[in-house]
Amino acid sequence: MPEPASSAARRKLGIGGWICAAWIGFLVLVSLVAPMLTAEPVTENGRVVEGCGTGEGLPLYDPLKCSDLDATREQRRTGQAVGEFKHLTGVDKSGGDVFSATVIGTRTTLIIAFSSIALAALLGGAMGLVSGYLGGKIDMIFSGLFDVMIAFPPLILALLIVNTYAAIPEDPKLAEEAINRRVPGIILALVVVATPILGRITRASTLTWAGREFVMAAKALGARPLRIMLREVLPNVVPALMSIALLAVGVVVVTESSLSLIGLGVPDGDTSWGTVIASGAADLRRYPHQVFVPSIAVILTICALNFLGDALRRKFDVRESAL
Amino acid sequence: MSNATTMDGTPGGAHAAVQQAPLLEVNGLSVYFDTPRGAVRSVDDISFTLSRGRTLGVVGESGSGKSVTSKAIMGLLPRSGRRIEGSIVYDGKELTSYRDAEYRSLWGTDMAMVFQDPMTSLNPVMKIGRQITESLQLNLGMDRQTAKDSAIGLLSAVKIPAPEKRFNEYPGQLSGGMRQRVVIAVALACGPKLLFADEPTTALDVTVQAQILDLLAEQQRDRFMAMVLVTHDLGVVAGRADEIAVMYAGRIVERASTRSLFGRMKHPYTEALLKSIPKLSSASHTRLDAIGGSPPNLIDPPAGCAFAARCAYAQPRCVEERPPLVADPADPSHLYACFYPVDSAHAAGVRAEAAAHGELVNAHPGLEAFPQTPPPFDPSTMHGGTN
Amino acid sequence: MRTLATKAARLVVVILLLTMVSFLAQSLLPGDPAELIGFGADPEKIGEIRTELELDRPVPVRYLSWLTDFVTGDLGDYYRNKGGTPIEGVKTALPTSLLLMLYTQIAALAVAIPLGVLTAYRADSLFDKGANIAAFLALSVPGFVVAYLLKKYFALDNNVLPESGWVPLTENVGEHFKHAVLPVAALTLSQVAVYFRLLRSDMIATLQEDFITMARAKGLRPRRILFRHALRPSSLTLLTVAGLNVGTLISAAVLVEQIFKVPGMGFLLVEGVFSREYPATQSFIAIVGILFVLINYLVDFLYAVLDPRIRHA
Ligand SMILES: Nc1ncnc2c1ncn2[C@@H]1O[C@H](COP(=O)(O)OP(=O)(O)OP(=O)(O)O)[C@@H](O)[C@H]1O
Ligand code: SF4
Ligand SMILES: [Mg+2]
Repeated sequence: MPEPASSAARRKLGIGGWICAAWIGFLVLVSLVAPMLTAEPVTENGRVVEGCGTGEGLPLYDPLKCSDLDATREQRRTGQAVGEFKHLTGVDKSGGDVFSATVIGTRTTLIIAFSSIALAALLGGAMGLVSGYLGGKIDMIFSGLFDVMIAFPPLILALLIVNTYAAIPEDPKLAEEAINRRVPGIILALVVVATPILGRITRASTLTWAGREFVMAAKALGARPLRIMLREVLPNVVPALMSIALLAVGVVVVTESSLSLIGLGVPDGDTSWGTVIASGAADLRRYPHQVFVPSIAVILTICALNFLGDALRRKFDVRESAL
Repeated sequence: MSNATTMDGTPGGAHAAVQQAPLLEVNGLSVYFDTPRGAVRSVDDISFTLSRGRTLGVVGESGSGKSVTSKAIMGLLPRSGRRIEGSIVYDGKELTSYRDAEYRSLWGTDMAMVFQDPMTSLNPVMKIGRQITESLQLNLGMDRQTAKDSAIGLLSAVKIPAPEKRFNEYPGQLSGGMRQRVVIAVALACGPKLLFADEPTTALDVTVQAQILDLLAEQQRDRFMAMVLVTHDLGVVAGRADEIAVMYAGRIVERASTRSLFGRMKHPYTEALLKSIPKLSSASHTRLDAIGGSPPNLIDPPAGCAFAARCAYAQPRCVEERPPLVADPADPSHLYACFYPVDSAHAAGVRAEAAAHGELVNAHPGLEAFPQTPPPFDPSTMHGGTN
Repeated sequence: MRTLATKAARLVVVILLLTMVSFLAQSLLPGDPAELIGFGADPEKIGEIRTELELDRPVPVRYLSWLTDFVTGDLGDYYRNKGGTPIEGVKTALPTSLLLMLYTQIAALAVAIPLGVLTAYRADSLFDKGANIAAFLALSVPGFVVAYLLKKYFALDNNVLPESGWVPLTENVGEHFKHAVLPVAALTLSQVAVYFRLLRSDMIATLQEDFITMARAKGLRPRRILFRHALRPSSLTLLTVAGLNVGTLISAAVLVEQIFKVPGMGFLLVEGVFSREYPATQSFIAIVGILFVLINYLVDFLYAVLDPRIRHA
């Protein structure tokens, strides 16, 4: 039933909820603004004279173009990653600034995470709604499909899809094309992983709502099934779907990094949290900060998403039992 | 409390001749629950005593505080959010200050309880034999085999056919009546001296209700136990209790020996209860819906008589002043809390007038006469209660 | 019995679909699989690969012949990896992975059960609140981060445990467990959090039940009530989730095996991916999928064992 949701939601969100929402908002802002804050290094005779840790330039160093090898050397000598030079959290082995890379990588990570979950929510939501509301053969087919898809451990399924759809062959001619397919391939994989989960939740939630009086009433008034699904059932199913979708975004952020760690992530030439972690993990002894700095971003993000998801679920459960 | 009487004065009962100190003495017991909307006074200043071999019937409609009373005495109420006042003396021991660990030495061996719903009071994933033997082994230190033999003995004592076979079955494999027999066997296992039976038949078919009640009465007699038989049905306690306490809104409104209660009924609420005894043919879950209206709010109870809003004999005085629990001059063991008891001239007048109008007194509440309107009638609160 | 039969039929169908999906994925590879696999080899060799993969035959026929090979344990050959065949790899990797997961589940339950029971018993106490916050945090830390932290602290910085590698149980028991500690710990943390949260909320519900009051009224001690009366009825959801969670566990294990160089199925799989051993990789994926489905089927059995209400229904 329509409720004055906004005020109730605001009250229930609490201070913690607002901090979490603010963090997610901040990340979105960062992913929009960060590319504008990077400096093109100015070089003279092949030497960097401005940017990339020379003390000049903008706050962020483009990790793909800047290499402050002096800093890397210094870092290796002192064994100190943090606080050296202008690099807040140290540099990687080719002189890239880890903090900058993390900030800049936010964009690709978020694009992958949000677009895949948005697509999965659309797809899974539609399938679950139709499946739960209409029942019968359609339900059998969709539920069966969800069952089979869920029968794959998530990372294995993602790996299978990326490895077939966007495997990068050795042949340089084929490789270029495959590299361009990599990010869409990852998104596709994550959509396939998330769709059955979101679909199942939507289906279950639809089943509980489809039997309610107001749905019956709409039916009795002769409303068309599509109209009932969209106007009566969907608005009530959305909270459940949303709460799980938030958790799923967290899962997807982790899976993105995981794919990088097994060599099936965002390809060279692009930066994401996963690529930064993966290149640090390759030499954990010398570049642990390269693993842990983006990991902190991952952890904070998942914390925020879980918190918001939990809050939404609690709120949703209250509504559920109050009826 | 001065007007607390023992039941040993009343005639009848198999062991009436045995004179002894009462097993249980409850004095001025009150129980409050803290809720978000304020403190609920579920039990309000009640007193009674009970001796071994005796049965006290506690009668009242849903929410009158019967279960809370039994659980308070048994020490089974949740620890947080409840407050107990008054005293509970069991076998010379003051129980109100007892902690769980101290109560544990009484549970099972001294006092036991038969719960309302046999469907939920047995552990569904434990064999029924084990549910009996575990307390035998833990409380009485029996070895496995002795415990098993005793348990089978108990199962046959509560008239469960093929006890050896049932011993190894799960509660789900038994009917409701059979399960309640098992619950009784569990309760009796360690030979308690005091047994609480909290609406032991409410959840059962009419046909098995009498069997279970007779079984309880028989065991009570054989084991010389004191028993508190809680019910919402005066008919149930009529032939089975030595004394009856009628509860309304957390208070005892009338208390007398069974004979005296039925012979010289004083309280209008008791009268209403009697009129609402379900006929044998009616559904087993018939609650006291024959009395119109509903009990007062226990968070903010009315200043006067709690029954006033529903009482046919009520007068302005009833709303202003709370009637104290007084003894009937003709029979000091008969207590009641009413300004215009059923056998008073006023009450007789009201009945005569109603008869003249062709109405049945107490079948309907005399609502019009009162300033305060009772809460709207809600069928769910009348029929609810059975989980 | 009937439900078991239906379940078995369902199981077979799911496994068939699963193998089909992992097989078909291969035919979706961009370009000519033989070219991809044999890149750089002479045309003769590529032709050989093509014949071996039966690429000129229709897909259903290929699937059937692959399936028969798969079922009889013939996983073909590696095309590039030297030494060993895929099936040999599976024979040592599968037990390793299973052992790793078994240890993880045991460790997770050993921590989560007492924790869940105690917090439910003392719900809303300081201890309970602390445990809940800890669980929330644990769920927000990805397994690989835990793995890297453990590895850095215990192996790289302090050198108390081996950095990576694996010693089979049959070879050296002490070394075996020494090598198992870090990977198992990395996998356990989030599992504990999941199980703990679930058990706690189920226990809280169970402790409200009449039969718990009844058990109290029998004079049983709290510990017996909690562990003998309340735990079993509360553990049923836990069991289902433990089964479903194996999927997440397998995913986490793939990474953890990678990080600690544990030669399990995940390691084998990733190795196959890196060296572009497509056919072998598909078989590995099918095996892992089947494992997961079988574990869930097993959980259904266990469920019936634990809950007489289902057994006698
Ligand atoms: N834990 C509790 N917290 C707050 N209120 C409670 C609690 N337990 C009981 N009550 C209140 O105490 C009152 C008396 O309840 P009680 O269960 O004793 O009634 P009863 O006479 O046994 O009724 P029934 O016939 O339905 O069993 C009720 O109004 C109930 O709402
Ligand atoms: S007559 Fe008055 S005092 Fe007696 S029960 Fe009715 S309202 Fe209460
Ligand atoms: Mg009750």
